[in-house]
Amino acid sequence: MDTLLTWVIDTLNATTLNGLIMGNRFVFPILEMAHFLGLCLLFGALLVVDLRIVGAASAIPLKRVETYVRIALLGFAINLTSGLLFLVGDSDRYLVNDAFWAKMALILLAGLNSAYFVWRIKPQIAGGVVLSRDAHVVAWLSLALWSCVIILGRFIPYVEDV
Amino acid sequence: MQNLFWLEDSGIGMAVSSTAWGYPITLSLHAIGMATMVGVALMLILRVLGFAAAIPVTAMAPYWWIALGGFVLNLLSGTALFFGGASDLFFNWALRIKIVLVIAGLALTWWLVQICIKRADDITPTHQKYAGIAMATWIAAIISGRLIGYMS
Repeated sequence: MDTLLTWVIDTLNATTLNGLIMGNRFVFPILEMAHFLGLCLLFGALLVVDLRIVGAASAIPLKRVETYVRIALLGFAINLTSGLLFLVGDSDRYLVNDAFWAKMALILLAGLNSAYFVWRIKPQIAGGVVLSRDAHVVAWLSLALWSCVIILGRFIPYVEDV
Repeated sequence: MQNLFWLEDSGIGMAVSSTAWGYPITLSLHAIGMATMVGVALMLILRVLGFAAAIPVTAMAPYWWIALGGFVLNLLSGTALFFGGASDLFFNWALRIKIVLVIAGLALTWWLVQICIKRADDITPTHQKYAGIAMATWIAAIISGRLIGYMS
């Protein structure tokens, strides 16, 4: 496992992209700005959609609020891109970090939660029927998981010496 | 300067700067508050700019309270973070500019809520002008916030 990890880190560090990200003072901070803007778009859009599902802003037609999912996907795309570039640039920092791996695991769980939403809840919204009880669970779980993703991201630099 | 050291030596200042988890916990709360305040503000602004046109603008008004909740969380967590490093942060230009931008962003979004989101489903070019300026202000606030660490 350690040899695989070393190989991945060495390979990434030898790429041209690694040099572009780490070989100057500008690219990494700009990627951080993009990552923070992306998280605002993702979390803000999910607040609109998930809180509507649990009963807030009930004047919004449930069928229409889903449009905001597109903004969440845009935010996620920005953060997937900037996040992968962080990884190529500084893999020896992230791939050995417990908070990083916990964050990745929670993103996976949040993805499964979204898949369940698309599979079970979205058809109910489209059909205009009263939402089943698990819709509320999915909505709260989405907000809780993404909050933890944000928290774990902020913890990455502070668990390095633990 | 004496006052700044006094803030750093206070209970809150020491909890942030000198306990094992005080700093990352406060920083995490600050990130959640940002995501809530800026995120929801951007969603209101996008609606005024014409996104999700099938949703009545006034139906979005309750979310303003969520954005304000994020602001309160960040006023508290931001104050605590400031106490933790007051003697450096007071002189940090990125932080000074960020505070001005956050106040401007909040005031512009609040104004947009008053003249449009709470009031009328008809959006005018004036509303959209405010929305555009507010969006640019929030993005600039995030950029200057990221620069604080690079300037100290």
